[in-house]
Amino acid sequence: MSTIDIEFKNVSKSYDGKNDIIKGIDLLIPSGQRTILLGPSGCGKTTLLRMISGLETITGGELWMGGEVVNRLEPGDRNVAMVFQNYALYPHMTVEKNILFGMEIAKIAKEERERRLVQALDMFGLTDYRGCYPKELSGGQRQRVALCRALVKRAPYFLLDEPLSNLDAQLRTMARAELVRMHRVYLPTFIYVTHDQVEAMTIGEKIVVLNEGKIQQYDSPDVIYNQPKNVFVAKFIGAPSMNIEDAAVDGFDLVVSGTRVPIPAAWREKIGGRTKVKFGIRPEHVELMKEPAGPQVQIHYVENQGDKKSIAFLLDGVIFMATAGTHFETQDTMYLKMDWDKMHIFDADTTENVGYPEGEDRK
Amino acid sequence: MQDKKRARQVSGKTQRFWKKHRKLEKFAYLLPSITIFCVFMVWPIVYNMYLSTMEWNMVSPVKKFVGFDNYKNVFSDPGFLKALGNTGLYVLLMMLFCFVAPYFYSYVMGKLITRGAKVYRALMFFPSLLSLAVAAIVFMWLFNSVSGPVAEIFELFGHESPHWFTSSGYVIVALSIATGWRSFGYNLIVFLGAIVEVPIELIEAAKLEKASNWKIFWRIVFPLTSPTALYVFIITFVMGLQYVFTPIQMITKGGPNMASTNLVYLIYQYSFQFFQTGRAAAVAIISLVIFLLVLLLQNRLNKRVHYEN
Repeated sequence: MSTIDIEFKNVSKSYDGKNDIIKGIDLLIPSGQRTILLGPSGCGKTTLLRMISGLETITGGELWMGGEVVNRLEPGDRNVAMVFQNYALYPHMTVEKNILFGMEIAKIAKEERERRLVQALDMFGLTDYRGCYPKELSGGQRQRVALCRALVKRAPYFLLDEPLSNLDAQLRTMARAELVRMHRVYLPTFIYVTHDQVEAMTIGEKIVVLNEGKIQQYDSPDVIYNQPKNVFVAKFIGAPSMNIEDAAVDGFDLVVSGTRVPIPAAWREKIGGRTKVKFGIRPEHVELMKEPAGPQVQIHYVENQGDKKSIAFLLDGVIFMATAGTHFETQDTMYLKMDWDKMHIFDADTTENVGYPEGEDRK
Repeated sequence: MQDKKRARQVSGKTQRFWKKHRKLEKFAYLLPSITIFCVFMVWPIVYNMYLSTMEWNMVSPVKKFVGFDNYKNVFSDPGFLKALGNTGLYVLLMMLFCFVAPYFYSYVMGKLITRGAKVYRALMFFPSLLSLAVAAIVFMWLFNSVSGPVAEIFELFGHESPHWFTSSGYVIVALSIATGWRSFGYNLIVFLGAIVEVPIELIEAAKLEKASNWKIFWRIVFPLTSPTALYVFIITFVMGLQYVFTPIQMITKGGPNMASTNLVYLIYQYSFQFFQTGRAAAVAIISLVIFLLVLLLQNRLNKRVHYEN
């Protein structure tokens, strides 16, 4: 283990001494990687990030950074740089002063301060705004000032708490690319909190999916998308959400909403002796046909999303979602063709994935 | 029907009248404020200036014009110089008790401690509910040099208590403490209101840079609360001039040997005890000039204050 890895060892957090909001987290964040903490609001992702920064105390377990336990280390001694959700720029200081503040306190030599400042301003196209106050800047510019301020610290750990959530959609796409570019240049350990799965997928090299204070899955974006570990991850990642329905196993057949399909041979072993499972399939793996090639379905509603159409349909009274190209024409009654190889099977009780057949390309 | 028509005609007439005299209309709206301002602010000052050039004892029907003699007499009166110096001391001590102390205290309460802030706040504010006269009596007994608790504490350490209200020097400190105790809480609440407005993220961001609490105060909290600080600074200055009047009147009457008097008390004495109205008016005008200088200072400082909007 590299000495600047971050490791959570059975870390928990409770505010009232009774209910843990972080429940025994074990997590190794390798250095130099972009790790995303992803989850719905209240899942504990920001709390985890603040524990790393030292702004939040830890009530159980150990947090290791740089080869030592840092539970009681002051925030200023942890050598982390942080970008806050609302940027936390000092309103009474100019862009320049904001960026210099930390370096002045760290008593970095004046020439070096100036060098880093100029370089950071240049990197984010802020050179002309050096003397501006934060209130004179747009949201995107403020966000970039916050990044500059964190960047000049040259800290090995770079923490970002939903830094793009206050930007409009177009700026966000640009900022995402900028963040990745910045990371490639400086290669700090990048820990990024977001509730936006698109951000997580595009920025992250590894994603930690959190819910209710527990890690649901920790893997690469590809694996998280294609092999979600449980029903929560499956439903949380992807838009529209994965279709998940209760299904019964009847001999060699799977029965989903009254539709009976033979279970592909490779899946039988994975399903094992279960008689009840949860069946999942992503909307893009569901196809609707005009010719009677499969079970009949009723179209419920269609949403045109510009680049694609989301189609909600009823199969035996249960709503499913499908996606199709914008040229796709719907009619009241259509026929269903599912890509059964792309299905996901979860245990009915634990909601954990039963696994995937070996050697199959899940993309 | 006829009445309505007439009413319309009349209102039409008045409308035409006001249209013709737009300036008059504006003046009419301002009239109540101008009246109050003139009667209670401008007139007393002007009349005071007039009185300061007269020799008069408040009862005599005759006032004698003496020019600047009153001012000359005032400046050559050691009592006035004593009062002026004392006023400076009072202001200084009040700045300490009611500006510096509550500023830091509110920073500690608002940003550094996590528990009990509400209890402290209530306890600290409590004295502000009392009148200054009550505070004066409370401290008269606390500082009683024979049987007061403060004297007992001195005794505990084998020292004799200073005679707080009868020895010069101590008397100003004691009176300032009494006034400060009563006014500390109010200023604290005002400061606290400003300090809790400073976003916690700003302080957290500074903490990540290893900034000490002291640096965080000077470089972040102080600039962001400077509008409030300026306000409290000014009212504390006024307190130093005015509020101490009550305890002076209640406890020492300016004594011993004018050691605790100040400008405002001196004005009171000149006019209502010695009936030297002209001289009192002259001191009042001098005090006014001092106030004006402070206001000018405020204007200068105002330019350096950071206002959020």
